[in-house]
Amino acid sequence: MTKFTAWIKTIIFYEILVGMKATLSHLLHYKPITLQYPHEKRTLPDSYRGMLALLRYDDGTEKCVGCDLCEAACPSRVIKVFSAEVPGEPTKRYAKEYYMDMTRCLFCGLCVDACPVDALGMTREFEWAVYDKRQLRLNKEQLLAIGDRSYPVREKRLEFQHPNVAFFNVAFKGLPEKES
Amino acid sequence: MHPLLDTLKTKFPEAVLAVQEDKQRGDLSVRVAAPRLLEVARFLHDDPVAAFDHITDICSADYPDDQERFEVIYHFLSLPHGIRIRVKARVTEEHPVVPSITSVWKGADFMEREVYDLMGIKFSGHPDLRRILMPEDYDEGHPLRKDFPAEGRGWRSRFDFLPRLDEAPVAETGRDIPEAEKRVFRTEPQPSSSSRRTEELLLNMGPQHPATHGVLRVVLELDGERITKATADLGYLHRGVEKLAEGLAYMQIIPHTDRLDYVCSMTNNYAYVRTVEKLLGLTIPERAEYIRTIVAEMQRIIGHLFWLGTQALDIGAMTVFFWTFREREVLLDLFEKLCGARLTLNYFRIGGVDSDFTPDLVERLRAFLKDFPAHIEEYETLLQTNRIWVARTKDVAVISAEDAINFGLTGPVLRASGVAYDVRKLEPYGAYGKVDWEVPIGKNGDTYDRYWVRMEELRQSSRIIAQCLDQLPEGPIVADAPKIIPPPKAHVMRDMESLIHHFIIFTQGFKPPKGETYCATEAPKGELGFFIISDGSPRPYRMKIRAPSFVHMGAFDHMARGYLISDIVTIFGTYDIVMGECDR
Repeated sequence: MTKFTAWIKTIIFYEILVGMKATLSHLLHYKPITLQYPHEKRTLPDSYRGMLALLRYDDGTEKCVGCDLCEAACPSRVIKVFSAEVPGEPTKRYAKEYYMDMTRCLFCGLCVDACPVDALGMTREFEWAVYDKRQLRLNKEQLLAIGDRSYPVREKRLEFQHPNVAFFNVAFKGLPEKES
Repeated sequence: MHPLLDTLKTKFPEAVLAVQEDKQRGDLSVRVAAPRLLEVARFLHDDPVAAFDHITDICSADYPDDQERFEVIYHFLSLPHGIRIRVKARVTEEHPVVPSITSVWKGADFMEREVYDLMGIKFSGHPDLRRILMPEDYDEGHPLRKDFPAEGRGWRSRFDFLPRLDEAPVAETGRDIPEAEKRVFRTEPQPSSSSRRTEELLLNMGPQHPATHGVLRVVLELDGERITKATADLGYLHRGVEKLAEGLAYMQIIPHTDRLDYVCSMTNNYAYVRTVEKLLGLTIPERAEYIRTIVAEMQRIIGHLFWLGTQALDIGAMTVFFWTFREREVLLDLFEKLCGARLTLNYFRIGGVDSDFTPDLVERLRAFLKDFPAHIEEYETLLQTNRIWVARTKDVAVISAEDAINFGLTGPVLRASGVAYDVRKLEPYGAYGKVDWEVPIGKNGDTYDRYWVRMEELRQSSRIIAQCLDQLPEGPIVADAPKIIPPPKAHVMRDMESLIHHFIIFTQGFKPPKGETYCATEAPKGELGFFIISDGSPRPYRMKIRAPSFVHMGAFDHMARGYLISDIVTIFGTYDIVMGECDR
């Protein structure tokens, strides 16, 4: 009997029929999970590790104090910082020039972890395809511009008690909210 | 002292130079005289007291200041006794020759070739000692030697094979390949007495072939449609991660390990981080262990789904591919929520994990696990009894248990042959010892059994995750070790001491104690091991990655011989190779 059933199953292509049933049932409960990408876009979570940006305080001053920690933490030598003293305020430093070679970036987020003043953030931007890869070497103005458009809510700059603790500013818990 | 070390010492008073037991890390190591390595190796393999039947890895290290400059380090595992041993032999720069152990463990073939390629140590008696990862005509030396600069020799622009923009393209003309160049791919010529003319056909497959799962080239020698020899040509994706790691602080290597097996990158993180923690002797908080186990099993589900989809696609079943990727997408979205990336996650930290599970994430994961068994059954209705699938996988690429162990295979490939070796059971780590799960084992060691083992592992993984979610304790997710782990961000900006630690850890890195350790982790592909030699500096002196895909490729020729040419893509697929890990 079992032999007979097996034989019947063989000639009627039973297992193919079962498989086709599963496939066709999906046709009935048709629910696409793909998105028509350039026209529809996914909502990315806040913690998305996209393009890097430099941030500012609410009064428009740059947060970066030019401490070079991001440069030291980077595993692929993306970042180059040239720091200098703030003119007129000899105890304070800032990044005079700041370069990021985004062609080499791994988007690991170690620089953001390393930054002691939360001056770096990762945005939700990812559409950065260019024709000339020299355009991916970003300078400070470009990185600040990315930060300006991605982080509209800025951290408040506090009144300092002493110029020496200028860069021990009390930070947000995590990073400010992003534009959704 | 361990009784085995005593036995070795009394048995080989001249050959065994020193024995050492690292009680803290549980490592046994033996130093032997290089010329007499083979007899010690044969004893370790054959004697029932030792029974080191499984070859784990061969590694090399370079100490330029020592008189005997190079060290070859062998890792063996005894499956009956469940212990590992490290055998070391030193050779000089003038005479860098070690006897080959390919006659004892067949899997040593590829590993010895790798050591020869990257460190320049010759193995006497090796059947085919050629370069394996670097190009065969590479004449700039051996890259893992300490005197070889990490940047390479010379500028990239000086390579003459790169096309230049200011010159007209040179017309490529077809040329005949000389017989001498073909010889390495051919089997030994059989003298034919009959007058019938037979000719073997050399067929080149890859590196640009969609079914080779990356950039892998295979030269097939064919007799009609039967494969008589299959020579894998690796190294098209060699990035030199091991050399790169020698110049990076321990923390900076984690994102680089993401790129090894990019299908399931977290397991690489896990394997690396565990090795460093073993080196440091660091204990991890309970919650972090559970989270690590959960994400590692999620990655295993992703890895096996990816494998199932591509393997079925290779054989011709398109639907399975779409369905597995649908489920994979759900998990990738969870990872995106958890750590902000989908593939290269960089989630593990030395001493813990990067971010915590939120209740929302746990809910979504539970919802996924609720539907998942039904999805597995869905794949099975398409494949399990399908006559095309059965015909293409049953009795294809059969490997016996003895051969599989001898080649050093691990993971589902080994378990399908009926060997219940799983690192998660043998040396339980994470939360694997606290949850209830089984190791699925196959019978025949063919492609169908490997498929079945992986399908069962999908079920076991979802079982493990469900139990871990139930047991998930509260608590910190990073260990409390201010000298090793950067302090929390909020403290850095308020507390002077934290700020100092933060600066020191990110600029200099931490300094683990002098020593060396091997630590194995069960990745979806097999046993992924890291071997780190630390000289007390903030950078590893030598880091060796025991990549399962690389070891599995060593058995490729053995498993492919005698099968039809149409089976070759099945045989690639059944290992679940990822070239990023294979070539490193």
